[in-house]
Amino acid sequence: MKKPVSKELVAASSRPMVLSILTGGESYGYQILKQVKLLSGGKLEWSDGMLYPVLHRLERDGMIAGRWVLTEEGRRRKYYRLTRRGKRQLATDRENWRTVHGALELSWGGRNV
Amino acid sequence: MFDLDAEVLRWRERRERVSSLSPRELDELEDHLRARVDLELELNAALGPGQAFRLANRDIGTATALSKEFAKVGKPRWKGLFVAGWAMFAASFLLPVTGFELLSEYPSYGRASGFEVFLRCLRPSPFFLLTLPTVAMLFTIPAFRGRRLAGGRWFRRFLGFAGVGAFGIGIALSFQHWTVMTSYGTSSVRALLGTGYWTWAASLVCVAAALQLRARGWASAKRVRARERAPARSPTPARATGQGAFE
Repeated sequence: MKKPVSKELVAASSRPMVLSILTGGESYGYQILKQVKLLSGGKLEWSDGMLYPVLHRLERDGMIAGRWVLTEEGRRRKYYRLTRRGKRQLATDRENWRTVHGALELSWGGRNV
Repeated sequence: MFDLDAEVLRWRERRERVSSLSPRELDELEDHLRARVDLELELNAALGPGQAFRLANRDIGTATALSKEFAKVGKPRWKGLFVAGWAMFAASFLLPVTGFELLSEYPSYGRASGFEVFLRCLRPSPFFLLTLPTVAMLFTIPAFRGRRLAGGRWFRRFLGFAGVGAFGIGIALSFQHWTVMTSYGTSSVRALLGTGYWTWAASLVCVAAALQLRARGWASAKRVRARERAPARSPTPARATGQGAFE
């Protein structure tokens, strides 16, 4: 059985992951978590408690904006959406991750795989 | 029989008691917990609500673990202002607060430090009222540890009014002149409020402002006006939920 992705890598990819998911429209914590699992095929293990501090940090930094909504069940739920700053950050992150990914692919291309 | 609502309420109350999580953070976690319970029940019909709750509770983590995770977000912005307010408050006890200036030919100054003035105000007199903001400040100490303040709304309002009022009174007094009899004859006297007084007034405003900033994060969501209620069929998921929105 494959080892799960390291905590460090999960933490490093958390910002672009959340920002990418929010490009699809408003979403809330639990839904974002489900999306992460779906996109990674369950390989990225995000603990339930880890997600909200990430969301709050992104909100504090102005990359996402949250608003409270009353659900049909009468529960308070916070929905997040991407801001302009978040979109700019996502573009930068995407570029950086592609660079890393490209470099690794090249290095593994012939010799190291 | 297992009562999910009662159990969630107990879960929440425990976290309110033992963690530094704000009610808004708990609102979000409670919604997550309930969604997890729903999912567990959906995935495994054999599970009872009690077991589903226990599984969801285990996955969401203990109060301590959650507090640690949320602490990683960093110090809240209000904290710097709060600490600055308290530093000024402490300094005001050492700095000169009161005095008077004789504007006639024999200028002289009488000064008293904040601590002296506080002790004098403790004696039975109308000046006793001046000690109330100082006493109210003591009740804000638990906020240093991220604790909830009982009657916090009233404390921050009182401190805010007291601080702004103190500034107003100070400015008004600075323009007042009185004629008094001294051993040298009649003199014109002007109240001369020292740096300690202004520091004290500023500290009250700072602490009130910090508590107000903190309250934004602690206050429960409030319902927005009916006109902002979105139609049930809306493309965004937030609106699709329909009943109302919170700000």
